[in-house]
Amino acid sequence: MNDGRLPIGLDPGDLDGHTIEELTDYLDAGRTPTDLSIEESPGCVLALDALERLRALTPELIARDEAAEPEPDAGWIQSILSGIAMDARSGRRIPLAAPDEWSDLAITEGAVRGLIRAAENVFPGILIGRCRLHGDVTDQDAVIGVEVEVSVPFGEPIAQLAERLREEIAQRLSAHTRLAVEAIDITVHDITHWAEGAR
Amino acid sequence: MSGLAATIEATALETPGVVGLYRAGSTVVKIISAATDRLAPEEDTVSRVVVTETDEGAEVELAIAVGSSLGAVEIAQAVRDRVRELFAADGRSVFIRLTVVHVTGDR
Repeated sequence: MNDGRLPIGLDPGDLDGHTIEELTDYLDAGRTPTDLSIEESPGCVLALDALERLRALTPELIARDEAAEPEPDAGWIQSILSGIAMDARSGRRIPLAAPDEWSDLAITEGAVRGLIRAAENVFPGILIGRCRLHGDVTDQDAVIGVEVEVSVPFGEPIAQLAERLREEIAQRLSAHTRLAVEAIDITVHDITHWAEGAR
Repeated sequence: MSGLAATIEATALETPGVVGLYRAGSTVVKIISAATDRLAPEEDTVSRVVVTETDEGAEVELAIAVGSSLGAVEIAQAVRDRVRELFAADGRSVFIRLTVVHVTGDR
């Protein structure tokens, strides 16, 4: 990590001059007193969302450790951490309408990834790790693809769960973007035995 | 903050579905703006909206957060229309560059 980037792949510019450690401390303090330089930074707010999701995951990881279950795949954990970095990056500007002489309306790729990730909240036990948008999302006529990696709870029919998650993501994208989504590919990366009350 | 910028901010925030306003502009501009904000007296805070006067009128840059209950497209269009009306009332034209940077979660 000597390339000037932060440990989970963030550039200082992604967080408008703040660090992930500062954001963690800020969360620890209950986001008080309000720091406008954080709260008014899109990158910081997206990273805070992701850090809060990670915190929701932490008790389960501890419970899994205490139950002497096999360690979760390091690659999966890394994908969640990478997700924080990805979420904090605004990424490409995705048109919300055809630009005209008087306006240019768009949504950031980071906001869309956050929108997709939030779909996990509808399904207890599901965690979305890596999330990618494929294709030229800056071209409003382009057909694009979505790829997500998920962890699903043990005992649920995976195919049905994946289909419901796919429908939820499609509905969210349809409600908030003009993206022409050709495919939403879901890869189940892990099956989790959730501890009682962990999620 | 200029009166015009403050009016644009208020107009954007009053639009149904808008839940927040962020610093618009490049990263460098935002970092400088944040640093200036910390040094400035509280009553003279730096605007989160970038307003640039041009020969044709003005250019306005906004970055907003929207709630998940309304569509981001419709909200963005509503903000654009309201800001455009502000300028139209003074007989001025405006170019609006608006970016939705966050859709609030439903957690």
